[in-house]
Parts: sequence; C-alpha cells; structure tokens
Amino acid sequence: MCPDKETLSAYVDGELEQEWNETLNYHLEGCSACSRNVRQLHGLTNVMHAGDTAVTDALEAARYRVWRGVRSSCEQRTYHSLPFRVVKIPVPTMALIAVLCLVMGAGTMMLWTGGYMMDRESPVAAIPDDHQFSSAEELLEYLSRHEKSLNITIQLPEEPVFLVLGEPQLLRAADYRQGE
Amino acid sequence: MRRTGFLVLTLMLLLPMHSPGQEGDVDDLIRQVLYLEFHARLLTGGGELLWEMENKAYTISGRTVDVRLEGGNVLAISHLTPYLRNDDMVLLVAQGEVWYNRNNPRDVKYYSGMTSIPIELGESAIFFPLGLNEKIEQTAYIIEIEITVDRYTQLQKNR
Repeated sequence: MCPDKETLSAYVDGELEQEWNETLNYHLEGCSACSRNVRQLHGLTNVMHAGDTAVTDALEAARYRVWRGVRSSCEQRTYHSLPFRVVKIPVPTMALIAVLCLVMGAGTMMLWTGGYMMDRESPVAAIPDDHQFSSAEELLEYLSRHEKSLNITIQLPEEPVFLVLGEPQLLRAADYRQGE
Repeated sequence: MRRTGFLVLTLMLLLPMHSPGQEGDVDDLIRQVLYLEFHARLLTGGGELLWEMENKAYTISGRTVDVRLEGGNVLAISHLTPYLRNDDMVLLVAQGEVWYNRNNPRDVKYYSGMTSIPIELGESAIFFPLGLNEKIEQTAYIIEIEITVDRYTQLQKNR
C-alpha cells in the first residue's frame, strides 16, 4: 500500500521519524509511482530554494543600490575646508534676496533724494524753515508727492513720564488763553 | 456731411488747446492749498514751559497731516484734517491716537478720540492729544499742539 502525499512530503522535508523513514526507503525501492512523486517533490523543493536565493539576491542588489545612493549623496554634501565653504542656496531664495536688495536699494534712493521727506536723525522738519516755493508748479509737485498724507515726527524729551489726562481735546486758542 | 463732421472733429481737437481757463484752474487750485503751522509744547501742570518745537506743512482741503509725537512712555499720533468751508472758515478735524504705558513696559494702553472745531483762517486752535484735565496735578505734564491754518496765497501776501 502506497503512502499518501502528506507522508511523502514529510519524507522529502526530512520530518519523518527514523523508523518510518526506513520503511519508506524500502517501499520506494519497489514502487515507481511513489519514487516519481518523491522526485517531483524534491524538484519542487529545489525550485523553491532557488527562488529564495533569487529573492535574497534581488534584495541584496537593492540594498547595495540604496547604500550606493546614500554614499554618493553624502559625498556630494561633503563641504570643502574653510575658507572655501560651499553653501547651496535654492533658486527661489536667491530670487527673493535679489528682490529684497532691489526694494531696499530703491527705498534708500527715495529717502536720499526725497527732498522734503522726514529725516529721523533730527526732529523732522517737513519743509525747511527758510524754504519758499519759487513757483506754483513746485508747490503742486510737492503736494502731489504727498498724495496720501504728510507725516511729521516730533521727538518729545525722554525724561518725563507722561500721563493720559483724558479724551483728546481741540480748543480755540483764544478761548483757551482766556480761560487761563 | 463729411465736411461738417471734419469741422466738428477739428473744433473738438482745438478747443482743449485753447484753454483760457487753464491758468485760472491752477490759481483755483493754489487757492485751495492750505498752510499749517504747528507749535508743539510741553508744559508742567503749573503752566511752566519745558520744551517747544515748531513745524509747518502744506496740504489741501481734506488731506490729512499726521503729527507724530514720540516720548519716553508715549506715542501720540494726531491726524489733522482741515476742510475749507467757505472763504474764511475751515473745519479742523483732529483724531488722536495714543499708545502709552505707565509702569509695566508690556502693559501698553491705547486711546483714541476724534474732535472737530470750526475756526477762521489765520486763527489758531490747540490740540491736546493726551487730554486736558482742569484739576491737573502739578506733577503731570501737558502736551499741546497749537495749529494755525491759513491759505498759502495769504502767506505769500504777508511775505
């Protein structure tokens, strides 16, 4: 009587006990069908083992590729010794810096050539005290330059501590002087 | 028909070139220019003058002049807008904004208020951005900005 497939499979995998193993060896010598089955099972096992090796090889190759990539990127980031340190700046950042430089330059030029613009170093005179407009055009040009509003900054002395005494008030000078 | 159209077109082109009112327009515009003179003062509660500064600005009716006063613990911005009402009157609108701290530098308080007064051209008004208390303590300080508004043309005549 021939053994079932599970037993043959266990035999091929070497999972049978010694006693059963010897019995099956004896049977295989006389049974061509079981011998064929065992050969097929051995073949299948070999293929599977070969498959394992292929997967392992593929994994190894992938791991090698990854490490090679990592190593190469590390080599690219290696900085040169001082004073020639290479700093990589992304293009958008470079563009932003350039635009900021332009705006600041233009602002500085405007302040430099702004004529009546306020100067924060000294208490501001919106217009120099002795200034007189030579023509109506000059006056209109001055007014068009301050389209929104004119700002005058007056620096108060630093020392006294001021108190808010109430709502802002606007009085006729004559009335206020009378009341004094 | 074509000739009439051509004449109308020529007249339309030439009329703006012949502008007898252009100089008058500039004169009218110049008449709208106002001259603001500021006299900022710092006084003690007792009325003693501690500090003063003068400044001036040119503007036109309805355009704001911002006067910014910066001190140790206070920043007061006065937005002053003169509106010409008729030949000799001006409505002076003043909006005051005050940021100030008394003890703790982080504890900044903000006050805002708006007021207006009609004055004659050449007349002065006094603006108190930090307010004015009748019962002022002698230790308190008063900031006042005296504003005189006049026409630019009047200023030229006076010169």
